[in-house]
Amino acid sequence: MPQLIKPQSTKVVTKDGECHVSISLELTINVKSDGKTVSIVGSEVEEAKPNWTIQDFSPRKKVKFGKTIEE
Amino acid sequence: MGSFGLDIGTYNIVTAKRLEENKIAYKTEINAFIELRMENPAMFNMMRQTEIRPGQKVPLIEFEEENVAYCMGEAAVAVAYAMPQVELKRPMKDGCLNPKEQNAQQIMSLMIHGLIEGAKPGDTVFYSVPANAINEETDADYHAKVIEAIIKAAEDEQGQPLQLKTFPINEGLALVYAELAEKSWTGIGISFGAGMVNICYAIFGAPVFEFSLVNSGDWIDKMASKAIGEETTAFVNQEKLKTDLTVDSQELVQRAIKSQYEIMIGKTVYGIKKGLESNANKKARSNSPIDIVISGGTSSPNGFPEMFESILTQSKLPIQVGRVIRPKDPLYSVARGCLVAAENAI
Repeated sequence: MPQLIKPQSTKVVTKDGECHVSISLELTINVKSDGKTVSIVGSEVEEAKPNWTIQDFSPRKKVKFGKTIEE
Repeated sequence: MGSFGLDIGTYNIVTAKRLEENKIAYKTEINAFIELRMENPAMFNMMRQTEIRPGQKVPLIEFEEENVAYCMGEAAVAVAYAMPQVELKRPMKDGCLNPKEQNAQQIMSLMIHGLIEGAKPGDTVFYSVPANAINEETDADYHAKVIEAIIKAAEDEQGQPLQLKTFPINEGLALVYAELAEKSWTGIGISFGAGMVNICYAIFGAPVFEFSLVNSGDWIDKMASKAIGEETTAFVNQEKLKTDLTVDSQELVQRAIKSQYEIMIGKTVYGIKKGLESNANKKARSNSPIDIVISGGTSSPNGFPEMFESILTQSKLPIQVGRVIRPKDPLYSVARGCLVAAENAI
């Protein structure tokens, strides 16, 4: 059972009536076994930053587009 | 080598190209599309033959293997308005690519390639990008990279890569370039688009600070519609065309629209004040009055400059404000500023 919780970061984003709450915590768990105390400290897991994915935009089709005005 | 300016807005995409005799040709289209299932070949054949304007057929792209067709631009808006069961889709939302539209990026690619038709190999293109918003999480960097990839993929009539030179430019900064040449490109540019308000303070053409706010034209439509109990924004969107912000109307919808404009302008001016105060001792010194350019489709209603100046005066900015300028063609200013940047880059 976690005995020490340090809130690391809390982010609340409200958008379009929805509320997204993101909380990351650091947990310290102390376990007693045969008189010995073992502590486990959870390390913050770093979110891997996603690489940008860029599609292939080679023109598959072409279309006449737009209204032209000269000034 | 030639130059293009490209303004990629949430509601309008505009290109600008210099012609002879110092004229500029602007090409514009609405940044929207509808998706049509191809179960009815007769309807498509008829639609394909229809002209949206003299000499130009409805922009219709078919993907037979996916059994779907896309109608884009002004034609899509017209169809969606006439047929409420057809959903008008927007490739961009709040100033950046709309992640909820799976095909948005490919549709944007078709639109942009269609609008820069006529570009020559090696031409320089400056394209507008927003700054990241200060009131909501946005990914302006990813948006800019995708637009860059789209432009770089453009080909000529023979299918050969055009190898265009591409550069992003902040939308607010583009306004400074478009309208403040006589002030040595020093001043504040504010672009009130459909998805975002983009602000840039520049001195001698170099940005001092820039930021954006995700609450602009679309937000005004949404909030005013809520205030009057409308489920969609179509009614308010049409009513905005009649709005006069200097008038205290008795109509509920006009009062709702005016109220949302006051809030939007108030937040914008507050952001500028904070930006100036935080840069006061570092970079933003100026001994001359600073002109402010206000542009973008959302600034079009009658009385907008007056309301803006009134709120500006009350806010007591830490600088001496010069003129508040609204270009005579607010839809084209950003594209023109991008073109100015492209011509100076060659």
